[in-house]
Amino acid sequence: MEEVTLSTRGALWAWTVQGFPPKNPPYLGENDPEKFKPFGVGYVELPELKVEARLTEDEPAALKIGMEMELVVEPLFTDENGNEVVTFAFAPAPVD
Amino acid sequence: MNDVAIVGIGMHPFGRHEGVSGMEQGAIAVRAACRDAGIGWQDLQFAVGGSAAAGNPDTMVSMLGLTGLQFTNVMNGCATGGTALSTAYNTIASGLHDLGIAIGFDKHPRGAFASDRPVVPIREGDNDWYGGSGMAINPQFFAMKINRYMETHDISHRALARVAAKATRNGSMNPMAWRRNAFSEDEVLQSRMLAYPLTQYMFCSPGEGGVAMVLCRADQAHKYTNKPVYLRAAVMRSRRFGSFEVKASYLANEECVGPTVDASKAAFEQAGIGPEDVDVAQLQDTESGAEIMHMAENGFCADGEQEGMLERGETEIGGRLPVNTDGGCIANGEPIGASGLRQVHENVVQLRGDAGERQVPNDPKVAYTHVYGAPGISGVTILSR
Repeated sequence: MEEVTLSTRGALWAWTVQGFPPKNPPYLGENDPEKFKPFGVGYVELPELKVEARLTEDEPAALKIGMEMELVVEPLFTDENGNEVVTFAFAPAPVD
Repeated sequence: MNDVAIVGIGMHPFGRHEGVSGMEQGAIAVRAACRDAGIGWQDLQFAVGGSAAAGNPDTMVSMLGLTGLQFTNVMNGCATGGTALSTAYNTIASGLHDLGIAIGFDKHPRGAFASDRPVVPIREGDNDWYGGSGMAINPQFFAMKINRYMETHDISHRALARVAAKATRNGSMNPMAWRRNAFSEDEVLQSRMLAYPLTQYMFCSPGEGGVAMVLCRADQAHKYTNKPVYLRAAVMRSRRFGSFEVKASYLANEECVGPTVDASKAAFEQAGIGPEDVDVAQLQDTESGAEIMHMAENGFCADGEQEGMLERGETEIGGRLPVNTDGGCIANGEPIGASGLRQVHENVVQLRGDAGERQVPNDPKVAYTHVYGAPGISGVTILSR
């Protein structure tokens, strides 16, 4: 087995917006129904493969198949020691 | 190879039944199927049983009779019922036995299918990043798949609502269904958004139920019934590299059709007929988008034609190709081990002409079932009389 470094940009291949707070365990993000904000999830087609990831965009009207996305890091939760724990996500790439 | 007939069917009502275990529901279905065939449990030479969550099926012998018969357990996720039937079919077709029974039952609590691990296993010691970051949620897969399909093939949100409304309308005519109240299309669209574009009323729910069917060598069918239904095909296929399935943390760029397409083609070939010959179809409707996509994946229409077909009512009970005449998973709920057999049960009832107010008119002769299970299993049967 070898490790491959993936590209950081690709086209949005499929998407949805998670509308209800996921159960904990295993979900580590905000799942208090009062505070929960829907979040985007999708597949981004990189040159190597399609990767499933959270999306920074949560508005259906702003998400379209084929739109260019780029890798970002976004905070998921704060642990009991006060450390911010981040995860990978994709954001709409800035239009050149 | 012997021809195989279905000569007895039985079912426990689907829904929620406090105090009745899943296995008891299966046993009740078995007794009803044996009664329907005019036999006793002791006459059966073999059984095939499937259940995901309600216990080891072969232990049912303690409820039904310790005859020492051959009893095989099967499990293929939501496709389990299909596997139970095709395994029973193969046992008779091969000549090993002449008379046997396929059984499926389950009992799932609320929220049972909500989340899962990815198919690519997380290594020992790694944190569960997949579930931890909120991606291990089954409704998301179904939403992403139909959302992409809708954008690519011009399917409307109203089409999703039409399917769900049809399911509950058909369910209201099915005394064995869980949900007996019909929703309007607007009620479906206005229900809570679970994973865009799918709302709550577009989804099936985990549930309970049991189904059994007695199969025999076709040339002996007259001993048990004057309305035998013949199995023309019973096939199972798993996924190939590149197909888009549940719980995939990544997908290959080389795309491949799903196991549904493979199972459907193999079944039509085995039966020697085509989609145009089918009079009634029960297609996996985990949520209403799945029914729409499965219409095309099973060869009944081209991608995108579903929009017009639904507008014109072609998949209604009185239409050109009735789909999910008993209300499907949406109205019956989804007890994994039983659903594949529920579909065949409904087809047998339709072919016998016993479906009452939900009877497909004009003497249907050929019936089709399709199940799909995570993480990429599909089963198809074709019946005729």
